[in-house]
Amino acid sequence: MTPTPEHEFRLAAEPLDDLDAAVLAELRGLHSDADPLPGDLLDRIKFTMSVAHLEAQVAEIVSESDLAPVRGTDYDRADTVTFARDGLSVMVTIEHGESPRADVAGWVSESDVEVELRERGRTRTTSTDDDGRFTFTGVERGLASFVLRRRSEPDAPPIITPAIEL
Amino acid sequence: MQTGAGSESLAVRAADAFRAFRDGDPSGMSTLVDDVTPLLWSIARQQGVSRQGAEDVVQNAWLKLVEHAASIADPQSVLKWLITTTKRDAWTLGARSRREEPGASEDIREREPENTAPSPEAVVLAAEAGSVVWTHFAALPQRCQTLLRAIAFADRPDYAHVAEALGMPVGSIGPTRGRCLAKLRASLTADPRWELST
Repeated sequence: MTPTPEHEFRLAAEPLDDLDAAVLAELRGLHSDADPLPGDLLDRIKFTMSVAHLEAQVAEIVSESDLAPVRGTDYDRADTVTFARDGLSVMVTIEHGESPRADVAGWVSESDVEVELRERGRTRTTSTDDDGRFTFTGVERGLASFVLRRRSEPDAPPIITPAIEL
Repeated sequence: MQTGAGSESLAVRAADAFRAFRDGDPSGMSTLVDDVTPLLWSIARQQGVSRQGAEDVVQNAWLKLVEHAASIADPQSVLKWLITTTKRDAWTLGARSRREEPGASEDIREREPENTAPSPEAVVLAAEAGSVVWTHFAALPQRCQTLLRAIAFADRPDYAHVAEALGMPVGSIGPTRGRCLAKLRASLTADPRWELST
């Protein structure tokens, strides 16, 4: 049977029902399979938004050890990573214990720097000690980046590191 | 049903996260990006841009939201703002690439209308998976495909909002089924393979 315009018109005026929900759910699944979001798009969007929001300068990765690339080259799993920007360098060492969480020990080339850890959906902040050291314990595994602000230059743009996988 | 107790619509969640963001708490934006990006991706791709082009368009829409945060008067309109920005920029990009490659995409599309939305590979994939829904979806008019693909990535309370942001007339969908979903429903119902699979 060929659907008639009257039939369609009647159908169009009916409220949405469970069968519509099932059809839409199937459409969603089909499109997700046939044309999926690029794997790292969400992370790149969030990083770009952070940089824009903070009007931050992005640090470069200058060295890393024990790296095993994950999903492309935008970020890497590494045990020790060094970032640098504008004469400031920061070395971050990640200690993966048995637990699903990791500890982060860092060292900044200057003292009196505020360090903010940006994890998925939350942030926490600490300061470097007199030797430029800082720690974050019990950090959830996943992508994280660090935002650094020199306390002596509160109006200068902060420095943000590319996201690394903890 | 995607509207259980406690789960607000996308538009409401977008408004809340954006308001908090503007008040100095950016933590909710991460979840919002997770929730809304698949919808924006669908809209960009339905305008006929490449995957690379859609990546740029969607990423830029979010970036513009941050840059124009101060000028968005009503947080309730943030979802709509993201949708219209994505659609407009994707359309512009698509128009530009069609102009730069005269005769490339537009003429082929005119001759082979079935190639407009689901790619040939996707149709093959879906056919192998035995998807009756895909076959009938691919036969819908382009604007209906755009609407339904977007709706599929939104929550039910958002349907009318999404349709309006896409420039579809009021009543295109929600609370009633609307023309596009009715067309799909009618052709599915008329297909004996569909009867078997439900």
